[in-house]
Amino acid sequence: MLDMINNEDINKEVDKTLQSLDGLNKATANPFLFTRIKSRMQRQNGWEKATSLLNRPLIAFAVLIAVIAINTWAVLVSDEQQQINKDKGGVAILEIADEYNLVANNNYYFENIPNE
Amino acid sequence: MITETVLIDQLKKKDESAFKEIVEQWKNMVYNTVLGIIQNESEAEDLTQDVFIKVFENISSFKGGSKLSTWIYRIATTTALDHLRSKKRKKRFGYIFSLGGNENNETDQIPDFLHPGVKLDNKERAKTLFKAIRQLPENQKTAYVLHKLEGLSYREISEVMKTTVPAVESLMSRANGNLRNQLEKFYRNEN
Repeated sequence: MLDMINNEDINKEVDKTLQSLDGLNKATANPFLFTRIKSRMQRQNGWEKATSLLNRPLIAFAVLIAVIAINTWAVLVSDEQQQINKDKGGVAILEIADEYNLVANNNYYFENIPNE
Repeated sequence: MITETVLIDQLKKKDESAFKEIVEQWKNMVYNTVLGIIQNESEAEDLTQDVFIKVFENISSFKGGSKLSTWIYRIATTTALDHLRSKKRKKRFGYIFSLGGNENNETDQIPDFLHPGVKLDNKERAKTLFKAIRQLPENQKTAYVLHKLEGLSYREISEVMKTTVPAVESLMSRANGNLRNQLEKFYRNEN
């Protein structure tokens, strides 16, 4: 009996809940929606223009050549720079070695080994 | 007042005033539909913008086989459902990610949704109903939202969903059955 009453109550609740959207007012969109859409389209257009420009074969080829040229130049310059640094470093080491007479003493221990 | 045919012709020529007219005329319809499916106001606003951008970009593919509003409804429901699918994918990915030790479960917490047009004394019941609507399969959800929130007839829904009237009747009956089952479970657990 208690179960039946309970079931009846539950059915009533379910019916009421299913009817809770009756007479619902429609939600209204943002009054500035058009302005927002326009600005979003302009933003998209700017990006699209940039990408469509890159899609042109001539422009794409030119950009590719420019990128390769910049890379080659960067590699060459860094090689040259490394060589200069190496040379500078070498000279400096020799100067220090000279100053402290390190080169002459390289075989010091060997020279002082008594003859057997 | 400009007729629909003239409006479409002007839009095909990318006329801005025609586009504005279309947005102003159908923005509430699109927003209300998307909101009913998505159940999130800020996402619904972004998606409403998406819908109109799609309308503007794809108007040349509109052949006039149906009313413009039917075509716009179709874009709105497809956009909303696509968004839900992508959210589900992210949620699944988030779950897999969390198994790997990441504790970010942000996607799991969906807040209760209250439609702004619900009458004050129906608020709590409507929240419960929207929670149940969220669990419906896509087609049933679309038919239910178009009928209950937008007030479309079964014929109009069949045109939007590119199906027959009996198919919509069946969808609605299954949707009502599923909602009833879910609500029964909910109230039984509550007691």
